[in-house]
Amino acid sequence: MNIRTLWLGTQALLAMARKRPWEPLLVALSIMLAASGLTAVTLINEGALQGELAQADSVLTGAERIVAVTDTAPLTRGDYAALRRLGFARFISTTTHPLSVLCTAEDSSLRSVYVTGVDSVAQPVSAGNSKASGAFAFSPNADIAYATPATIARLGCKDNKITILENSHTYRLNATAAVPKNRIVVDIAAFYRSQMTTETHPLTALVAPTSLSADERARLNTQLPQHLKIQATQQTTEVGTLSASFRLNLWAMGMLMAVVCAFVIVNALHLMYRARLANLIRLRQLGIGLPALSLALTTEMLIYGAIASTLGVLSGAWITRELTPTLAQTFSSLFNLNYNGLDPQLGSLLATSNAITAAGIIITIMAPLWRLRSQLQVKQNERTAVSLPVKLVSSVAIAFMCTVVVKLTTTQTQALVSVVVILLGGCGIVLMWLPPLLQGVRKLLPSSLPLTQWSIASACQLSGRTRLAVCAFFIALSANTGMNVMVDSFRLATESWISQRLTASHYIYTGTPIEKSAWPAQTSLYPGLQQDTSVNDKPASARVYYPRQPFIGALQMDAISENAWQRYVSGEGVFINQQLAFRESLALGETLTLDTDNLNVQNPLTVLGIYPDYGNPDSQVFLPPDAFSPEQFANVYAVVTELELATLKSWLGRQAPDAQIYARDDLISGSMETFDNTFIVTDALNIATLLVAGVSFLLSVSLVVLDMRQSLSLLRSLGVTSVKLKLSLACQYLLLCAGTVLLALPFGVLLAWVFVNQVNRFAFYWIYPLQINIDVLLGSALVSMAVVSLFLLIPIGNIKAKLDLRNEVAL
Amino acid sequence: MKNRLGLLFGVQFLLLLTLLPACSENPAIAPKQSLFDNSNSEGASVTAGAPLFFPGDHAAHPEYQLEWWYLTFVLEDENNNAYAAQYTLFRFLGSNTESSWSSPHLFMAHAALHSQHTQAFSERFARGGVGNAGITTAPFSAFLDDWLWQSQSENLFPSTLIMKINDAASLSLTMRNTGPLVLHGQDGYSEKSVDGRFRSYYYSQPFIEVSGELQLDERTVSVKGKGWFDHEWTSELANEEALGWDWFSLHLDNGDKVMAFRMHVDDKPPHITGTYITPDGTVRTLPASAFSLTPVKTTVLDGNTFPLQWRMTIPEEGIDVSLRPFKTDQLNRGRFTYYEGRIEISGSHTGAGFMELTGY
Repeated sequence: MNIRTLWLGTQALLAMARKRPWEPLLVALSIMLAASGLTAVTLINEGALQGELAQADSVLTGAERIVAVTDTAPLTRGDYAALRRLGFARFISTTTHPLSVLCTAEDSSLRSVYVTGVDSVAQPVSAGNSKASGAFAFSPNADIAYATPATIARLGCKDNKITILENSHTYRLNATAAVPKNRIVVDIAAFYRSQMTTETHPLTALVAPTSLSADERARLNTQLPQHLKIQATQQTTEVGTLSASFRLNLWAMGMLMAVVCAFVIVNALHLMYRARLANLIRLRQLGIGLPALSLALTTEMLIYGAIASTLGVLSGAWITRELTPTLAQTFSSLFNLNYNGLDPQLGSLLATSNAITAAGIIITIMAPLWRLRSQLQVKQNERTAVSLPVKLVSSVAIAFMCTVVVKLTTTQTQALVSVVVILLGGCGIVLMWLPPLLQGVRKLLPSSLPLTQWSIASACQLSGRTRLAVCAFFIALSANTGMNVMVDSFRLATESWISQRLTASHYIYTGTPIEKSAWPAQTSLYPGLQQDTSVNDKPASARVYYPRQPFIGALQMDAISENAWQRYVSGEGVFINQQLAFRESLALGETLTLDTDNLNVQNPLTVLGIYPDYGNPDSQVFLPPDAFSPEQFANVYAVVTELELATLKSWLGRQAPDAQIYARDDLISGSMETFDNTFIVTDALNIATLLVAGVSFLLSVSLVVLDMRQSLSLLRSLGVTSVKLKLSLACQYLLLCAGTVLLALPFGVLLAWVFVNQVNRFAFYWIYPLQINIDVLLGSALVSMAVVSLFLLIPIGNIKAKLDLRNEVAL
Repeated sequence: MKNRLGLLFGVQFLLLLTLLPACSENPAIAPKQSLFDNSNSEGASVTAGAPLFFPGDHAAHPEYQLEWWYLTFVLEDENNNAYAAQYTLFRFLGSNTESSWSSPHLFMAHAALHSQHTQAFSERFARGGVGNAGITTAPFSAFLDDWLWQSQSENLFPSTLIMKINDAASLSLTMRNTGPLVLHGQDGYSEKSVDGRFRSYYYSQPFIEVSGELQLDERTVSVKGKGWFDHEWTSELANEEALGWDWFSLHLDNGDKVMAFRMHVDDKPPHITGTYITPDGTVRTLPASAFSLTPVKTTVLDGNTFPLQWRMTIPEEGIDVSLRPFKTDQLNRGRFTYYEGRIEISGSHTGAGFMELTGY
């Protein structure tokens, strides 16, 4: 073998590709889709990671916080200076208050938003860095404010300029990931201007970005004034786990897509080499050796791979860029994390993608090449069919394996492994049972329909010849169905949960408590009360839940004890969320210990009920109002009233001009809108996977058409019209598709169960009831078939019943 | 004078530093960075003939844009191992924000400690008016957080300096003066450029005896040595044309002290001047014609070229000495990196001192 032989061989192959471009194009398209999907997943995950890191590093999510014990003796500037002079120089002062924001001074539509002032000048500095990790690049005293892109978008201010009503100053908004959501961060000197002083808006916390050592903590405990305390922060590993889980799930989707693409590519190669077999035999007869031919075929594939992989990376980067606003909103709303839009490093991405593609091609091409080499040497015998007992035993073994894997799952990674096992096991089931299933259908049809009988028999035969395409389609369809069922269940559970939890007719958000004497007649305001605390020494949030109607009826419970509400009121026990129950392995009737520093409760407390708390990453307990003091007001009132919204707004405008009031329905619709946005990414990957599966089917059908020309010619010669032939072909393809769908649906439901009860359980620490909605299953099936049908239209239109015997090779 | 302006980033110190093309007699080693650009801010003007008063002028001069209190130490332990230490407190006058949180002043402090094999540097920032940074006068103190130079009276000395630079390095020093304060230039009016555009009020205390303890390299070391204090305030160095300088303080073994600097102003040859101080505190200003200060060898640190070895001659005093760092890497790596470190003096005279190279 020499270079010239290789060159000529490759040129000959490329010439064949030009003559018959269909298969190479589809191979390239599959590679492009895989590269595009994986690039998008890589960039999205990297963006998520960067956003999380930026937020985790942010001084605002510091590892340690010093706060006032009560609001009556707030944290002062003197406390701050004294602590720093005692050597606690890592603490910086912050102040956070709900303020009214206008887009311009002339703007009349007030927006209530939390504004945080940070002593940016005093931020710790890392050696050699222009600023410490997580620090803000404030120019001291400059009128610059920071917010997440999602918050900036929500404010919707022209030129990104806002004016804070309370100090009448205008700030320019800069986007950053290093701030919490729905928060505007400014320099503290720029915060305390005009009428805003430490007296009107006291400091809220001194924050240290890194944890104190044991010695420092001990020293701080002895030197901290009595009116201050060290507070456990909500900066817990759960946030990291949550985001890591999202990234892992996205990777799983990306890998699923890549696997489907690999199936498609192998399938396409089989098809391509089969179509070229006659010419390849001629090349062999011309003296080109098998090694040279194999190398030429590999070179040809590498050329396609390089082009397709490059296009895939570019399109993946473009897709990610287009999705960035949605992703930012998704992360902000669901994970309480920020998403960093990245400038993709295209050079690095292209190099990586091309290297992976080349390696993938070399691995993927082995099987088709091996088969081709066999075909070029000897004629293959038809394979014998698997007997029924073997099929039955194999099926039981697969079911047993899936059950064991699912049962043994105790971690998130294992849950994802069980997804893979179920999908591969499902492939085996489909390959074994699809032909008998189609045979069964054929037997049900009367023999007076010969064309239909032929059509089904042909479909049955095809199912064996298109195994790889069927597998790809099965995987895509099962994943699609599983995701749809899971999302539908989640949506229904969330909607039900929100609708029940938001019981009051209206909700008021205000930073200042409203005097009871000022409440309008026939109206009750129930203040939200909240305290960061710990349960069994782990961070948790304590919230008030009022033990009276309509709230009692609204609290949805997964499990509840006898006389739970009576015992709740008496202070004997608490209600806990699923997250806390899972994390601490708490069940009904068990006891827990609550940090009683700021809560009027008596330990130990019995778990009286476990309630679902979808979307909340944190552990939470519900306590009756007596457990709290009024100072623990969480800036929200539930309003139970018969009054109209307009009347309430009018009253509120007089009583608390800065407050915002929302009707229950608006809150629910807003929440559900946010919910729907969260699944855009997975939906997109789902559709892409399905499209890939469609490509796979298209390739298989092309292969089938190639094989069936003789049969089709014979049927035509027997007087079957071309239209009938095409219809018959379409029917058998769709029957094949429908058979796969039928087998894929149960696996889809099983996958949904694994997603909910295992992946979600171990990643998010909450589960929800699986809702098997027939509409959703049918919808998944029909959409999948519709996608495949669209692709089928193309080859059906190209069927020619004429034979070109010159290209026919007996195999 | 003490040429600390290379570190001064002004009221908008994080944003306004700009890179300017070097234009000097030796572009290869001339400072490239603008020292300070705060030309939009206003401050009181430095004028000749305004006498300095003590101890009143130890205090802050808030009407001026820039001010610094600067202590450097050359120290030895009982085995004659050499150490170097630095504590600096800078004050910047910012634009008036009408904030009730703080005054318009910003403070920056630098602390450094070197042994032959170890170095520790840290910097901190604070706002004036908050209470964790500033100058007090009776008794005198200069502090930022827990870095504290505390005198027993309204005079600078005797006093103590306590700093924990990081978890592995700290120092506790006791200081006393053995000579008078020294006024540079014309009774403390110090010109930094030929045309007098750049100028400051500047005095020093070069006669400081120091003893105390260092925590470094996981051990405690008792040390003794000499210190040098500078206090300078100005509004006339807030100009982007001031690119940087090379500053030296020498403790000669015969008891004499020398302060010398070369200031780099954009588009001009460096301005060279100095002060010769005898052990009894007699002062002689050194014009450029009376001495030479020449770099003889450059070293690349962190990708920047620094002239680390120098030759200084003062013919009238019979001085022809070589100035070499006691170790190569004495960069202070902060928001903006500069070279500040101990030097050893050899040649016609011996001794130790400090060298600062800024703007490189």
